[in-house]
Amino acid sequence: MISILLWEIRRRKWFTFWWTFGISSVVALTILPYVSVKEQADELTESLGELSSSAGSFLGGADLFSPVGYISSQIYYITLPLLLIIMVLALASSLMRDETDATIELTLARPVSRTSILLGKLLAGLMIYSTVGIISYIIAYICAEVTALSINSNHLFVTHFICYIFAASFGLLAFMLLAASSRTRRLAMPVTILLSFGGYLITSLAAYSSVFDTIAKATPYHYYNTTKLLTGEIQQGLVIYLALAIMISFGFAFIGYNRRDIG
Amino acid sequence: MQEVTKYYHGSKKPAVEKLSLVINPGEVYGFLGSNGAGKSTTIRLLMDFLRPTSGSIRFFGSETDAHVTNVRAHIGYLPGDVSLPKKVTGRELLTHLATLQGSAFDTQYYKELTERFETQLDKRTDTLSKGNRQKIGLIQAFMHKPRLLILDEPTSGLDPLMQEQFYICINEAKQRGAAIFLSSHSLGEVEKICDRIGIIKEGCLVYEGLIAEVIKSRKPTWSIRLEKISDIALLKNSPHFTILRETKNEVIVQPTLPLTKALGELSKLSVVAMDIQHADLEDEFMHYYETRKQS
Repeated sequence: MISILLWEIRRRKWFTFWWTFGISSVVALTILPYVSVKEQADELTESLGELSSSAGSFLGGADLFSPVGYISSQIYYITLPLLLIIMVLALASSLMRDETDATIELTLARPVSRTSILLGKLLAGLMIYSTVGIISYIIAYICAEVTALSINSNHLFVTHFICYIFAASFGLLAFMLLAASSRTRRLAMPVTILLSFGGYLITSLAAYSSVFDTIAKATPYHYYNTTKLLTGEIQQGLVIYLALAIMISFGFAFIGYNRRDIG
Repeated sequence: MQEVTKYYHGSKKPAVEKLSLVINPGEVYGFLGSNGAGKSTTIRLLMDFLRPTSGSIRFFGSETDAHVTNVRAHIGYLPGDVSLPKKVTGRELLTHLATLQGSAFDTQYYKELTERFETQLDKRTDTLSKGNRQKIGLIQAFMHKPRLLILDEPTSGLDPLMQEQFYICINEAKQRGAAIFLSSHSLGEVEKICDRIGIIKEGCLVYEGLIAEVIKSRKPTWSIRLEKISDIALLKNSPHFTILRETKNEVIVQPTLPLTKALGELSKLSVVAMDIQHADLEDEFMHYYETRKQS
């Protein structure tokens, strides 16, 4: 398993580097301009108050210029999770591509169990993903200090951490669908994209219509409130969703991969 | 492999049906069949990539089931149309596979193989030609001196010199007592290196026998050119000859009479030219396929 883990990490060193660089840059370039926004925060909030409340929901709330509102709407509600979802889907797809191009056969022909192969890949993905997460958190923390954002550092850490787990849950879902059976492989990307990006759209549209409001309750984005997270409030619904998504994905991926035909 | 049947999901027709095979130590078994006959499915079942719908697969007597991971420490596998991971060199890939192989890996033999096959180890695998990828595939299959070799189209893409090196490796493995199971479209090659062959058609084993028996039982074919076209009809209706193929004025037949009597029959016709050839495995293979097709 360790050999597979190291092999997968080594093969994705440039993937890790560029995603870490890209996401950290986005975080820095979004937080640092708050220095100029901070001085006009009251006036900007007043102007925004004239807009409809539903328009603000696309941006993660109506309070966009307070430190919590700014960092929530500009990073943790949309930009960072969506970038991470794209990254984690690319990572899951890349880790499981060896079956499509038949290179998995050389590994499967060795005295290595299917569980070890899948675990090796999963841990490699987790380590790559964690590298991006840790470095971008350090950048976010430094930028928050530089711009004197009055946000509790513990709350910033929890929000960053939950944002990563939230995006990872979609990656795990894709990984599970790719691993579980040859039929679910085809559904992996459409289902995950629908649930993540579609969920965001539906949750945003929920402010306009009660129909969307009902549907939104079935999407993970409904339970993802970064403003609350940044003020130290953790939603129970989000924690239940994350725990279920992780456990179910792990279970199905391992059971399916061990039982099915490969190649 | 005993009574193994495999249905792919959604298919009503089995890819392999009640297939039973035994490969003995020190034996080279050639597995023949047309495209889609079930060769690759059989190989993938043996390697446990596919799980049989029914039947059982056992290795090394009755020691272990196919899905027991440790069995694969003693198996060397070469996939058909070798796919190698991209963006890595041959050396990196082989080192990785050797690490997965664990203690069973023979470093000295690995070095010897890379020299024999003149492998380009430091080039990225995605820049290698088919032949060079095949060499890496062969090295990874042989490098741990397995007790069983399962090889799908092993000489595909190899030049004649490298094919000879492959035959040497096969011979060495055979001398060590390894069982070798290979599928090939090159019937000449099968005839050259195999001890026994099996022919699969539509998922069923239609023939199994020793190569020595095939060679012993094979009959010569006569290629006869006739002056009169009317004589072709006479030859076709003759009970003394089996028509194998025919062109405009040439007929390829197999006599069913002793040589002198068959020549006597032929002297009655307007024969312009005649060539006697000994049927090779290809003719035998075609014979089994055609016979079954007709039946």
